[in-house]
Amino acid sequence: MMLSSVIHALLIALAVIVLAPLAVGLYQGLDRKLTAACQGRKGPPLAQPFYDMLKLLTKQRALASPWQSFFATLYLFASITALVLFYLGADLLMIFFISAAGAVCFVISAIAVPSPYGHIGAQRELLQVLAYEPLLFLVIVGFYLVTGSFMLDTIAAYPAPLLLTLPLMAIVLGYVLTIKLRKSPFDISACHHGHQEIVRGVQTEFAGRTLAVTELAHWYEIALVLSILMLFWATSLWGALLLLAAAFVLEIIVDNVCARTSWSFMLINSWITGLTLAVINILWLQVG
Amino acid sequence: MLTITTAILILLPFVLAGLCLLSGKDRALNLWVYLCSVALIPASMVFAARGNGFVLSTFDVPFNSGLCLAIVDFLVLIVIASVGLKHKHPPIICFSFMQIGLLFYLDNILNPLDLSPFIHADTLSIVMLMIVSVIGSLICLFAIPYMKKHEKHVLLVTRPKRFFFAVMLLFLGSMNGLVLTNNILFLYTFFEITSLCSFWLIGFDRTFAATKNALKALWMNSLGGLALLIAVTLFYTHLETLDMREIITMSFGNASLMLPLCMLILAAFIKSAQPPFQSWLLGAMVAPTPVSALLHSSTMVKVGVYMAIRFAPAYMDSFLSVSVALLGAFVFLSAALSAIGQSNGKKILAYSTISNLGLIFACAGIGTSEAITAGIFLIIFHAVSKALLFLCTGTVEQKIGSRDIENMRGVYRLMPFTAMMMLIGIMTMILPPFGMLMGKWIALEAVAAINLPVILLLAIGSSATLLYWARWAGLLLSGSAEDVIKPTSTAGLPLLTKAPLALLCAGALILSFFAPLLFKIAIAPATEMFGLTPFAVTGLGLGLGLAGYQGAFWIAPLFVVVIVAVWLAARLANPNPSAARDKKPVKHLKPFMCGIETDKQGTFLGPMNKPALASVFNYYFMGFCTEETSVKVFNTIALIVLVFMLGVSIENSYSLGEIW
Repeated sequence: MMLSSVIHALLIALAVIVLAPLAVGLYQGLDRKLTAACQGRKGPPLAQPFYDMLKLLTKQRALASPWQSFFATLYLFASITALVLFYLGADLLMIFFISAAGAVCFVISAIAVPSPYGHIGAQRELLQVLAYEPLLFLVIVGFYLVTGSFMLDTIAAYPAPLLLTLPLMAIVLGYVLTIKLRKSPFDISACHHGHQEIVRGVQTEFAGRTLAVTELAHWYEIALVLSILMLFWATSLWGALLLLAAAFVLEIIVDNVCARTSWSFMLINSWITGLTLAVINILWLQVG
Repeated sequence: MLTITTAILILLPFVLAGLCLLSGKDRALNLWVYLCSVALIPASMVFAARGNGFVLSTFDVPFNSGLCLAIVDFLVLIVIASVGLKHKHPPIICFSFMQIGLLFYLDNILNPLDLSPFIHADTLSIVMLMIVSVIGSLICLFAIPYMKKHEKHVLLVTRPKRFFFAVMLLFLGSMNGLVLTNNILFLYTFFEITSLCSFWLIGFDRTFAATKNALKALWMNSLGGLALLIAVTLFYTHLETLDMREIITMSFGNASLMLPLCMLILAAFIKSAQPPFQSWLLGAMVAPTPVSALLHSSTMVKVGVYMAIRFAPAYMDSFLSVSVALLGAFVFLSAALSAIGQSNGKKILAYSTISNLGLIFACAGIGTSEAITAGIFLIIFHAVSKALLFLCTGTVEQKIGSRDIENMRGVYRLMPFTAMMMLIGIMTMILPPFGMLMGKWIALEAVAAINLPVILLLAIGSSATLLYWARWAGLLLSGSAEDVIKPTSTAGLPLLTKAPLALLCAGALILSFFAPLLFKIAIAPATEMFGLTPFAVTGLGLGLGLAGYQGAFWIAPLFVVVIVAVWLAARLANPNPSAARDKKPVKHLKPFMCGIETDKQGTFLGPMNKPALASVFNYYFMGFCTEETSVKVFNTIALIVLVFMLGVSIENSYSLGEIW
């Protein structure tokens, strides 16, 4: 009994560890294709994110500081752990904390190198954490208020789609997703477009395998946010996929129509809009 | 047996403090400090093992405890008053004379045959006792080499060192008394002694700032003492008892006792340096580091939260509990925001203390068994981690001569051991699966269904907390590959500096791992009166984690992940090529300087083709988070809530409107 449940958990963990990067890589590939189409370009092949990842992974070891590599690995572990625990049906709030721990490790690994660009990027990454963490937390509180539990297996087993009772929370999670996906206007810390004055700020000093590790960790992080998004329609697989598709299209539109902003705009905008939406949603749950 | 243990815990430090004062030589002085630590740690363990439910009544002691109490009380007040007179400080004079008058009144109406036992231990007192005795003793041991160095500091004229250690021991003794006593008048006495001790310790260095800040601490805490004495007097006039247990059961739901309860909370807020009274704790950092560590972690500020949790059943489900929860949550957020604006390491630690204490107050205000569990967890783990962080900061400060975190960039190169301890200290403050975070997790789950404003405040405060810790942790390690591989540390630290750091660090990690056990033995019994036990300890023998009605925290599996992750990360980060499987040489990269870096480390080719040093600083939100701007706003809001609380309590207790 004991053993079989452990094996079961290990199998789920293995599946998550293998499948999540595949899914997110595909998502990124599609994203680049569609963005290119919007801008009248051809764009890279669909599998380009995988090519990039494989190339980085096979490079010679190059370190700016051992601590950088140390904390990058911890970042990867934290992201994987958070995602695996998600699919093991653990406590969502605990998962939230573990994922936050990953973000902290990422920042520490960036600050561990005395580089001006890396430091500015790391400060901005912290500001992004400051912007999205309260929102993500309130989304989780929203789940709890509807389902009466923080445990994922209970939340996922809730008989009705949560989107019906928590529609505003879905928008709030959209904010989190935009920040996490590094999309305009919230691509403050690690923007990969030329329109920010510092490109790839927080990742400036990462190279080769260490860069691949942080990229991979970031993929697992995105997988986690997308998985949380799927919770809004956990009753049907098609519903969940529909939500993913909607988020995908919306993110690309937002990315393409928005110019870059300052961090203070990001912080104030996400807090005021996000927190207000969340509070309205929670209030109507409590009153209704 | 337990009576003797109690005497060791409370009276021995007083006796040894006296001996310290008399000892002229360093060796004798150190001996008394060692003796105190060696006695207190095992005594507290014996007490923890056997002492639950131990009662010591006034008959059990060979002296007239009431008379002793009165003498000590007046003595302490007279000393405080004379300090006030000496420094011509009107608030101190005023508050101390008011207390003397009130105490005369109280002693007159006091029934000489009052039988309330002066010691009645339960698990909450034992938890506090362990914190005071073990952490306090470690800090005292750390202080021995620290003060030796401090004394040599040429620019300072200090009081004699023996005075310092005498007061430190006195502090520990009175803290032990405070957490064990069941007589509210004894509580008041020990409360006053700790105020006086903190005054002496803060003013230890004879600088202008030290004297000024010591007086500030004294007047604020005297106000707290006055509030507490008013509470005691009102409780006695209504209930005719000094027995804290009786007071707590009898005041639940009793509207006329709202005012004394509010006064008690006010005293607790002041003692725990909650806004608008936080300035005394911020000022306290002028004292030598062991003092800060003692005030912040195991003594002084923990008195306030201890009182709030102890009396939580009395004000449960009332207007007061809602206010305490709201104000605590507000402090959690506002102090975290203030910490963001600081680059002074000790100030960051101070604001973080205030912030965490706010969270504990919020837990006490919520008052469910889950919230109280969170509160006690936070008290324990905060004490360990904060003591560690203060001692590390002090050690670093003595080496680099600065407490600014900007100057701690790359301190790992200079002192790898201390930097590692500090790093782990910071990790245990904010990351899972360590105790502080578990306490926060319980707290957040406890409030989620109850109070929307509190959730909002905690949500934002929690992410602000991450911000100021994460960047500090990163700074410690900052350095190029060569720096990290070959640390330049040469001078070894004395054993009495290293050992307390290592022990506290190990304590933070080990206690976190055994948190389920800790919960079962020490915390669950203390939360019984607040409702059903909120968690079950799940899993195998040692406990895989905690499982509640709404969620579960898997501790052991997470620890396994952390151990594997750290092992693998250390392997991958090993710059030695033989550690890598492919044996390829590892390339060391220099920080990117836009392609114009020079050979000299950390420089780029600047104007006139001269190398210019690249420097970066943290962003401290100068527009918003400075002490001049935001702190004033925070203080005003906190003051408004406090006045409101007091007003409603008076209205509730006396219904003045109806009398009129």
